Amino acid sequence: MYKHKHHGSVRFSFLALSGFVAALVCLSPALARGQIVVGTINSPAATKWISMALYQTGGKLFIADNTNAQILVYDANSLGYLNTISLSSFLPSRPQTMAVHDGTGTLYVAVSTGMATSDSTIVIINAATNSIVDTITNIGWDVALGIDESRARLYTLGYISFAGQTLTAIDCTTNGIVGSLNITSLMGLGLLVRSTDTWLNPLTGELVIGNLHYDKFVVVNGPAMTGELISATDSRGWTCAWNPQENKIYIATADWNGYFIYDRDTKTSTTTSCINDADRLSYSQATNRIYTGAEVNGKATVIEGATDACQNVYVAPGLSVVGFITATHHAYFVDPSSIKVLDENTLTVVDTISNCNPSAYGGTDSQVIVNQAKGWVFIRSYWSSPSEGSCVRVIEDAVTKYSLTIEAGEGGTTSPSPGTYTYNPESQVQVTAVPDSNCEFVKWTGDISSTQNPVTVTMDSDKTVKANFRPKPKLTIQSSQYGTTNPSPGDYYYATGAQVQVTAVPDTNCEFVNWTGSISSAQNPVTVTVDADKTIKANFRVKPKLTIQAGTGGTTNPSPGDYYYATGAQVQVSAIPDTYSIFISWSGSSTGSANPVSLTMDSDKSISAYFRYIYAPIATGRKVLNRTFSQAEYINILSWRTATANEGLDITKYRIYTMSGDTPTLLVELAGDKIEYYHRKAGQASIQYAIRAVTSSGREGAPALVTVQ
Amino acid sequence: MIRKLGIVFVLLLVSQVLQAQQATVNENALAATKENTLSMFVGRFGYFLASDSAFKPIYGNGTVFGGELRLGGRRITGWLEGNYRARTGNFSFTKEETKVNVLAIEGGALYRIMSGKIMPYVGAGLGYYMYKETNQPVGEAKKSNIGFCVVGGASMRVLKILALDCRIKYSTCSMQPADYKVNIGGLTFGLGLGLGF
Repeated sequence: MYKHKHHGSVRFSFLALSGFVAALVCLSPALARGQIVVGTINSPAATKWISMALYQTGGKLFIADNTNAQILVYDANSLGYLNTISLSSFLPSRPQTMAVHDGTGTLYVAVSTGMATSDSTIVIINAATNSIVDTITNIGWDVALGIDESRARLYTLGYISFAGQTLTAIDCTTNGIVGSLNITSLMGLGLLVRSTDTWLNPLTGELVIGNLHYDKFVVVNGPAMTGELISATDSRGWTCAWNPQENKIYIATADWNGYFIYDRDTKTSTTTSCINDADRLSYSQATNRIYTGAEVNGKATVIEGATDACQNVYVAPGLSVVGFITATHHAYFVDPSSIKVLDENTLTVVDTISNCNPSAYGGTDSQVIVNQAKGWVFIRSYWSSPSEGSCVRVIEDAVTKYSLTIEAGEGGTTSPSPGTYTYNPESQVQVTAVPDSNCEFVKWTGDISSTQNPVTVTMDSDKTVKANFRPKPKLTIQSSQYGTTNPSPGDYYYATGAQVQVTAVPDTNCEFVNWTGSISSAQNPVTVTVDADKTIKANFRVKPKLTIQAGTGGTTNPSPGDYYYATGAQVQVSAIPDTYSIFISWSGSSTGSANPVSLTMDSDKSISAYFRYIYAPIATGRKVLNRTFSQAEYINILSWRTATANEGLDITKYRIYTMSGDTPTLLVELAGDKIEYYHRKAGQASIQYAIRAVTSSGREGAPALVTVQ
Repeated sequence: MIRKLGIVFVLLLVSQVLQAQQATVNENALAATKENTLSMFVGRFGYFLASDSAFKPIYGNGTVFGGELRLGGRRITGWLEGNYRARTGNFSFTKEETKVNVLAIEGGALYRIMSGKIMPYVGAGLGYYMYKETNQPVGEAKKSNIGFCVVGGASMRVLKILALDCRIKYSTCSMQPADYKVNIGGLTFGLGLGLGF
């Protein structure tokens, strides 16, 4: 699976611009079992390279030369020397730790005279131009730099004095101090410690700062720069680290009896059962684990992030610093003399690589930086003796890639386009079949047999896949006279088996009859399963017409006119007589006097409504005195006879109204055979009466107006 | 006005009768005391002729019933009478039925001429007249008022305590019970049978 490369050794040197030999770079012999040393950068004698930083976007490696108060700049890909940035103007302060903000291309260098001083300065360097752009002074002795790239924050944790260790937050866009927090005041006097790389949780922006002497630690909300003191048994420890995925804090306990674990979400703590003699907690994102170094007894502790289960794994004594290559699941354990490669899957040492100066031991510092994209591991070491030098060994830990050949049959293409591609092992590659117009994807053949689209290919070997296509079945839609369809008549291509709904749309006053062709149905819309070429035709016809007419004296509902109804429709027509008129009968397609009348529209039909006017009776009136000896009343006597024009009408009643202006008030209703009415006690005043004939159907005729004075 | 003149007339009549009585009492007192019953109860039946011309077309003339009590001296005596008359008629146009009732309480003084078995008399008095007219079409009209009356007649003793009496009475009383102002009085021809005591 892994490439095994063998290189010849090449050693060369260069002269630094400052006028002295800055480093020696050599290419080392090949290593067995998959890892190769691609190069080593050596310092002159008596030189302490105290830290290094990788500017991955710019492809630069920065090395802090504490001895000569300068920063050496190397090409991070070729390991070639590029430049030297002199910091001699800051003497007696010298470079200590460094950090790079990859997004802004800024290198931050902490310079100071040493521990317990308060003259620290942050030197801000443009990583692209290698020029100093700013400084931030007097923030204490900087022992740690941390960058929260997503929030554009640089955190420094330094000693101003033993009485006041301060966390400082710097805005990476303005390089201004945006907050500070006195950790000593928050925690109480004590020796504060921190993990080298993992004291910042990049997901939450929180930082953890431990305490070596007391069971307490501080969690700082970085954006707000507020601290939370947490006291918990066995939380006294040497180093601290975050597991960002689980949001847990790990502390290597100071008495070496295990590891304190604090769940930041539930705010509960526990300790592991594993007891080991190590510090240097490191987080492996690939396996969601916390690893320790293997300082004394050669055992590293591996803590599962999800379960907190732990086990001790033998690596080798003296290995403390851990770095990870996520693509290969390799963990690197480093000391100045040797490098052990631990397979995270099997938790066994799979390789041993000599460090760049195996003769030395006990180097006070080692540092590992990983370029995950390139698969390179940068390991910096320096000797304890001032007469000796430092070095950076670079190891490549890339994996073999597999080829994926994608082919496309006639009728389509693929995404990615047909061709051969290489992918990392276990990569999940999604390939999409893209059929041409009027074609459809059928299936994948080759190393994959599937009808799914897109398909995911697992790259566990070289593979070939082919997308197969075929023409789509055609649906031909036609329509007869008097209508159209939706979709419109024409040829359409659908995926095989597609359910297509076609709607017959008749013209005005027309109606759909049926479908013929590949289907025979009267449903509308109709669903066609396009499993082969098919032709369907929608047939239409003109709807039956209903002609409605009305004679004098009324109208109809619907109004007189021509109407078209669906064949077989039941249509109700009402005759509506005018005032003083009466509906008599229907003629035409329907007879009789039923109102309304119902018609079944099974053919063209015509009906006419006949009305008659109800004429006013011919009436007279007079006033008479009707008295006794002492009493009297006036009687208005109304007399009438039926108008001859009403002959044949069934006059069953007369209604007599008194009129107040145009407003009638019913006075009396009389039988149709009455021809006279006495309005008793009518008084002497003049009264106007309206006498109306009423038919058996309740229709009132025109009024006869009679005024009696 | 007519009623006031009637009252004045009655008072004058009474004063003249009293004067006449005073003049003749000495002459005939003894004989009359022996031959006539001077206090009596008279049951009456009569025929009434209305004074108001509107009455007759509706109700026509008719009978009247009553009773009279005479108390007092020989020539001058008091008189108290109650009578009742009821008629059914028709409306003028519709000819629907209508009814009228008149109850009268009358009283006054009589002057009697002591002339043997037949004893003429005249008198005058006041009356209280209660009128009611009812019918279906219009309803009821009801009214009461005071009127006056004058009488003239003669009594004839047929047995020791029994006497026949005939008389003419004229009464007048105006009122407006409903739509019209009417006079409910009139001329009454009556016969009576008296029981002396």
